[in-house]
Amino acid sequence: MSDLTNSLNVLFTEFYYWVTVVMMFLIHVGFATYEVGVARRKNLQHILVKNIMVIPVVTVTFFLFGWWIYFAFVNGPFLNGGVPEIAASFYPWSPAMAPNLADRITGVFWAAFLLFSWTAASIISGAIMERTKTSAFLIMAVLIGSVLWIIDAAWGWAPGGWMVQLMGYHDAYASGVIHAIAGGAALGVLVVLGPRIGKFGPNGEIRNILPHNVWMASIGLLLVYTGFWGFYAACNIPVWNIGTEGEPFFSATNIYLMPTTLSAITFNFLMALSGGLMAGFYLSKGDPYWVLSCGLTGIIAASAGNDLYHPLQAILVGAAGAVIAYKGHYYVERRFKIDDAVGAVAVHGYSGFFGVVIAGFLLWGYPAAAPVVGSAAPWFGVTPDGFPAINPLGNLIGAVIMFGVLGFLPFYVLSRFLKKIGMLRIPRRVELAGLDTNTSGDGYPYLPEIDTDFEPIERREARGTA
Amino acid sequence: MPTGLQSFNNPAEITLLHPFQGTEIALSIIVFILWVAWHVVTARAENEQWDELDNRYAGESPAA
Repeated sequence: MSDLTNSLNVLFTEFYYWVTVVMMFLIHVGFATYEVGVARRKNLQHILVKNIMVIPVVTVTFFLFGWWIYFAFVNGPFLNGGVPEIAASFYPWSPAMAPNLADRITGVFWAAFLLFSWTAASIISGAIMERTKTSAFLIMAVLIGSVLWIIDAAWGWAPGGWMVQLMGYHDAYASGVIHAIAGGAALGVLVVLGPRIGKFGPNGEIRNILPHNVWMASIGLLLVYTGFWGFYAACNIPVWNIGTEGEPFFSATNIYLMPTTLSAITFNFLMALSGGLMAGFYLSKGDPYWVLSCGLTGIIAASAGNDLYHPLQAILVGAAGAVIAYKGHYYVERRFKIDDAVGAVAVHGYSGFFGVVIAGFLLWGYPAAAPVVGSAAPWFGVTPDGFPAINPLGNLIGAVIMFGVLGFLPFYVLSRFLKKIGMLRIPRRVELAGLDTNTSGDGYPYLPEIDTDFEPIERREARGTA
Repeated sequence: MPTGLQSFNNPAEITLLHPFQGTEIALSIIVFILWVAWHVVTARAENEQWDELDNRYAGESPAA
């Protein structure tokens, strides 16, 4: 750190990631606010604490083994090589994982990934709210936040990941590696967990369970947008030589060390958001809850390719993702009686899946990442420079891996296990009385309680089944 | 008793900053055990709370 230019680069990069981490904290603030707003009055404190406890549980496990997984699983392992030697630098007792004047990047880079881990867990939290035990959810949070999402990041988000090197997988801002996996995981839990009492009538009719505070839920989603913007910056490398040693050319890059700019992703973030909002407004006839959810959906759908899309492509992809998510949510709810309390499977899962697939078509032939020495030849084509090429098949298989293999399946199995040992669901009588009767009491003790149309139905159903 | 560094006069030669260097593996094991134990203890406590409430509500029929 004695050369000023080099030192400024290192210190700027350290500060850059630190800022993104603080911005991304708003994602968690937003999810907590949103989920509390969507919850009914009798459950809101339970939802709040469940969401807050993601922070310590995922943080400690991400320190103990999550960050190591990112480096250890990059080749599968054993799909495109073994466990790289560098993984040994990220055991929890390694010097890189401590305050260290010789390493100013690991801590902030670790934290940036950690904030993504919290997000993955929070996505599941909303879908399964109002009937899941906190202890069960926190096991799920560790599984997705510190194990499965970071495995998929190693596979499909690291420049040397086997999915990138062999399949040309491209997912710059995590349509698949965060959103599709978390949506698939939420669906795996919901299939086993079942709906809230009274959600579906005896003839399959769907009953609307109203949020206790739409305004709070809306502010929560706006906060998620804000944090998501920080997430976009966190997925970039701020300064990198994309030229050669002889002819350096410094640029921002995406996570794969391929060129993009902060301007490009700012264009596309806002255009994709706009596409989602406009589609959501049209589809839901102005329902604020769905307008804002579709805005988020728009960003998620375009995220896989927002490093390279034209803004007018981003708005169209965002709008299409919102349509798929909105229609998909109600189709699955109607057809399979899945009670996703916040539409998370659709907003994150279906649109994330779609986003990965469409990026394979729109960016067909672009370089995915620089080839890694010792890697096997790419399966689905190379660029003229010998880089693995982005292609539709690689991204389609990648989307299936994210949503199905690493998302749905493990969480379906875990939920079956938790259900078998009685750890998954709150007892029905307590669910009816409200989860805040546990210790917290009424969240609005000075306001009178008023029934909506749903509460008498819920009590009637509980009488019949309790 | 000094627990670590006693001078910052030569920053180019300083790497790790924390006290009690050399205890990192032991600390990792302790925190890992505490993490697992925390899940076990809190899950057990939560189940007991829900069961207790469930039993309390078992005698009450839901209001119409």
